[in-house]
Amino acid sequence: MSDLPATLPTFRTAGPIDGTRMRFFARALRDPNPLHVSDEFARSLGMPGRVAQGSMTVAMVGYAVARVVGQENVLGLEVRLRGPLFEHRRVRVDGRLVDGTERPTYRCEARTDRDELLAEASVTVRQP
Amino acid sequence: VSRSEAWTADVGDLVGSFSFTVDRADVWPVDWAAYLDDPIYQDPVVAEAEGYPGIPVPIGGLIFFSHLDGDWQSRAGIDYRRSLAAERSCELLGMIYVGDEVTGRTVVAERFEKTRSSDGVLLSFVRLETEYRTGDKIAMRERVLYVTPERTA
Repeated sequence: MSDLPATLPTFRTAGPIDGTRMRFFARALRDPNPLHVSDEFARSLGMPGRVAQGSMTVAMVGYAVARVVGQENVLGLEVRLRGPLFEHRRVRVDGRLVDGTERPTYRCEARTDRDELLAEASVTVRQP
Repeated sequence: VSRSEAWTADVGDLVGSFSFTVDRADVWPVDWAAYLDDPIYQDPVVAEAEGYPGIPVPIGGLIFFSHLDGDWQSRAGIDYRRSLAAERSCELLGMIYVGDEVTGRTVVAERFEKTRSSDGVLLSFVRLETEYRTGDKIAMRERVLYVTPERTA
């Protein structure tokens, strides 16, 4: 028996990811990749503008689970980054508990408010 | 850029190592920028009331390259003009808190190639594995897979 919820409450960013948030996140992680701070660099690669760090999506996925089960009960996560997070998007993360795994595992998806898939993830948690 | 010029660290080789103290200034911007907006990542009193000994680092709030020297990219064969992080996994073996002394080392865990079926471009993959230690305990094992398009096959 599990006391874990079968479905995670949806995590939603309270607002859009803008350039200031991208810069703060990149600075906190000392990310040297100009893709996260420079529109000019991003456009030189054929992208419409700067792209948030994949780690920002990872943080949202991790938190979507951690806020429900407690961070100390999150044992691991595997995140497959499927698409870039461009500026001015809001993000939501949904997850559901899956059967047939050795440890309780949530399969999660992160999408933008334009329904762009950002990431698919498996998050393993401690059995309560 | 040919593959032979692109990297010098093979599987098992050290890419870099680091040592740092987790600073509060490294944590709150992660909380704020990603809209986690959870006071446990900002206020030690709230964190302690929630049962933590201090401000925890959010999941995803540490990444290996933050404290490596700039040359790690050439050793690993990462070029920001062409390389993308495709996967990131974290095995969380213990919590990391503001004020913790963290040491780590990053090695090449895997290299492989694939040809993209849509356009025949050869893709080089490198998976970097980093162990984060607080004291003598492993707190986190992180793996990041980068993909770099090399040339038309």
